[in-house]
Amino acid sequence: MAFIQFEHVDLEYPLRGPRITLKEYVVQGLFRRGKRAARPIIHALRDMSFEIGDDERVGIIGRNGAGKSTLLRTVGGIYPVARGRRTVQGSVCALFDIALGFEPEATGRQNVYYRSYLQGETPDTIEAKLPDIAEFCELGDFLDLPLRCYSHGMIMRLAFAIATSSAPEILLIDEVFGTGDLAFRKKAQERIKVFMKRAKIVIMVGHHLEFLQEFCQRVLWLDKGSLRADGPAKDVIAEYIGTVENAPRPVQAA
Amino acid sequence: MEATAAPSIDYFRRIWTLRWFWYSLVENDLQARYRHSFLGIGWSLARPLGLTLIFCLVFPTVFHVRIDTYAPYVLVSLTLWQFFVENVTLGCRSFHSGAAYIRQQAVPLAIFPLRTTLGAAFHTGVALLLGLSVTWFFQGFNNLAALPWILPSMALLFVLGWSVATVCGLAQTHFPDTCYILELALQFLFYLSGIMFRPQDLTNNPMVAWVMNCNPLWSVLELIRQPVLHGQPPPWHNVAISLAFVATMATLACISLRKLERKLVFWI
Repeated sequence: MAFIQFEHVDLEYPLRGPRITLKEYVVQGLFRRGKRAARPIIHALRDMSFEIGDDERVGIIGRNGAGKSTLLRTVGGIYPVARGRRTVQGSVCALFDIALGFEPEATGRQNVYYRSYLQGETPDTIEAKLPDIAEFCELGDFLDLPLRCYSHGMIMRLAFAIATSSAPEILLIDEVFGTGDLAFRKKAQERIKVFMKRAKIVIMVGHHLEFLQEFCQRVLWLDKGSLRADGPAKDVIAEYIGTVENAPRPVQAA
Repeated sequence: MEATAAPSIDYFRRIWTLRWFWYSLVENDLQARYRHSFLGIGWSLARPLGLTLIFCLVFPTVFHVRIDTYAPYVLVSLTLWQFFVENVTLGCRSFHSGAAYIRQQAVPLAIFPLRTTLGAAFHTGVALLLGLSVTWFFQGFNNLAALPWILPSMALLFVLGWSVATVCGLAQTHFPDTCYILELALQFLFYLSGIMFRPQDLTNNPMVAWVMNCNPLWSVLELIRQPVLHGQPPPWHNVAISLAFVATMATLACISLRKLERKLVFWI
């Protein structure tokens, strides 16, 4: 059984303070009066509470900087929570920035192994999946060339094929539909539909509202790090579109 | 699925579960390091051998020592020193070099300094075989009975390397000048660890000899130098100092990792 529960979760993202020179540091240290200035932080998620159970397909929407990707990474255990309680039961597969973490000097085939090992696979399980990955990414002989010889689109194809070759209980997807050319994009969408059916829980972030409405029963709408709405996909998306369309536009300079 | 903190048993179990991942990273690092190089992995042997030749041209005359004892001493010392240096300098970059993976998946972060230490250990192992061969060439096979001492000593050196790489990596993420400061400190430590000369060679400078004897790194190096070069087990006081030093560094690494690991993703 897969299960996700957030109880009043806050996430604070610390920032490095402004860079100071050694001279400034020494002078400030010698003549400092009062307390040291607090380290700047971004309060990325505020009082976030929700539960997601088996067979739920949940979309996350919101404006840029609303905290969508941060929430997904917090579910994935990458970001630590500052306050509150996060409970995640089940194996997690995250499709965040899928082209990240490739070794440019290694061949495509070697990178299949590296990325799959990161997801907890073993040589035997990868061996069984390799023909499917090779067939899906359509790289042919390029698979045995170093990754630095690949175009960005080819790397994305390979990354997508590897990422969607596992069978996780919880699937986290962050805007991965811009993969490759038009023909491959259609193929990728079909594959992700199959991939999503295999997982018990799917949470996806996206601005592709039609896709979210088609595949998610439920949508979380984030606004400035807070949960603004949580409900049936159709209702929440309609409310979100209404708010965005009615939002005051910035005054254009003459 | 909350991440377990170092150094719990479950934490080490997760490291073991990901063994194929970090093993493949080490393999890739070794291949990438000497890619397109004419000598390739031979540089693991050529570098300490070249430095030993240079030292042997100068220092036997300065210290009035015989070349048949000095050459194996310098070669083995340089090999072990290089292991320590790589763990410090490459260890500083260990978390940054794994940043792409750290931002992708919740993994035990100790695997990234482990990657550094395993890579360094490979080169050290190869160079140590050369050190043994040179010792046998100059001194015969008198050390065979003491060689089993090398295994536990290497294990201790490995734990020290992993701990040092972890501490340096964590320090570097919070204080980006760490690497430059440590490179400077290593220059100083080089002369206090008896790489080029032994304390007994410094008859006209007993103060430096005394400081060298107090340096715990000297004791750790002696764990391997004694069986290889003199065919005898390391002295017990060296063993005791080494154990205490390694335990201190390992504890420091575990405490720092436990305190800083979860938030490290924000700093890389």
